[in-house]
Amino acid sequence: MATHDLSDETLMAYADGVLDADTAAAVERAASEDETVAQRIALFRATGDVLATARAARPAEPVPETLMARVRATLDAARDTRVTPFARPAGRGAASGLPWAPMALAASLALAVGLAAGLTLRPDTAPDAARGLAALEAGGIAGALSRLEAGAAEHVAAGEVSVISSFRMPDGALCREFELDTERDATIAVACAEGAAWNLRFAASTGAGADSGQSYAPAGALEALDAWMVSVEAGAPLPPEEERAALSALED
Amino acid sequence: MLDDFETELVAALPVLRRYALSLCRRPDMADDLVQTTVERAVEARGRVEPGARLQPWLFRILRNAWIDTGRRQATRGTEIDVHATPEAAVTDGARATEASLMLKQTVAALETLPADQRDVIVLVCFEELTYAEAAGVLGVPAGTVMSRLARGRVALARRMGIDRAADA
Repeated sequence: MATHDLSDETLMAYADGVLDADTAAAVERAASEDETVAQRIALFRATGDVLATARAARPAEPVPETLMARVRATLDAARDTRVTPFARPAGRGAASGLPWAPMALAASLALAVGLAAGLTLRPDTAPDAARGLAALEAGGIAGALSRLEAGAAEHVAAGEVSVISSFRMPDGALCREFELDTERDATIAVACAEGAAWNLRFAASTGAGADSGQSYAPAGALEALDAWMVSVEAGAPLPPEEERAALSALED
Repeated sequence: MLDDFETELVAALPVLRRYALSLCRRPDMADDLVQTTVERAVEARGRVEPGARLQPWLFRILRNAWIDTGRRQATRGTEIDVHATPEAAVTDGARATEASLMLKQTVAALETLPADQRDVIVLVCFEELTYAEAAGVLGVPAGTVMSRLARGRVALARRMGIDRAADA
């Protein structure tokens, strides 16, 4: 039907305005020389117009409240499992008799909390490391935590994971302090094993990124981590043989 | 509080539901399809390509969920929703009448087309996806979308008497 060996697909794409400039120019030349080509284009324009008019009469209706409630519940549930939010230390402060300056620590902890909240709520705008941390499994971090001995490092999808130490919580849970370095930033974090999964318990930026221009203060990260360790009554770092035993027990 | 992904997902719900209705025609089933889509999208959110539009990806999930229900065979392909009351949402009287009349005629004509042609017309001309996006939703090459769309529009023109030029 289309002489000039121009396909219907090409003429339709021309009518829809999605052809590249060169092909469009060739179509225009053909249309000016051949009435059947021009008529074919007109047909596609006409169907486009009819469908556009019909489209205007089928607005999307508001979502029923029952469906909206189900969607909200799904989003909430997903958020709870995606990352364990920063666990607010219990029994911290004057009552626990900690020796350090409360104001500076409070500021550091606030920064750490802010980052952890960022992990949960806005992974797309959070620093690279935070985004990587937001998915311990997907980023390959969980695997590294189950494999690496303290002092070892491995490159995974989320960045470079360096395990600093292993320790146990008062309830016996195995936890690992580690650093995650991406090209833009670095984060120090703690994740604890729960069954076969790793849950993020603490994260603070150490701001090592070369040109990240971060606005949050990195200096407090280690102090904040220390304070957190004390407040959750983290145990001392496990010696290598105990760590190895703990890691192999994870695989069971 | 919603993150950007969740915000975009919630914003897409009305369009998702409309697409679901065009597939299954039943509001209760459409709601279930949308809910399934949300569940799968949240699970797979790590696989969203950065910079890509979310809507075609959600359509693909929804369409696959629809196919999973096995209803597609039962209803012989895509059904266009003619039972929704589009008039209610359009306030401009004369234009609304013309548009809804046009919608009814168009839908009636679309019903006579093969399902694969109707599928691409709905995605490209009603939901305003690009050829490539529609190809992604349907899991076929873009060239296939274009040939189905062209054939569908030629047939539609003939059915609706707007093919003055088609038989030339």
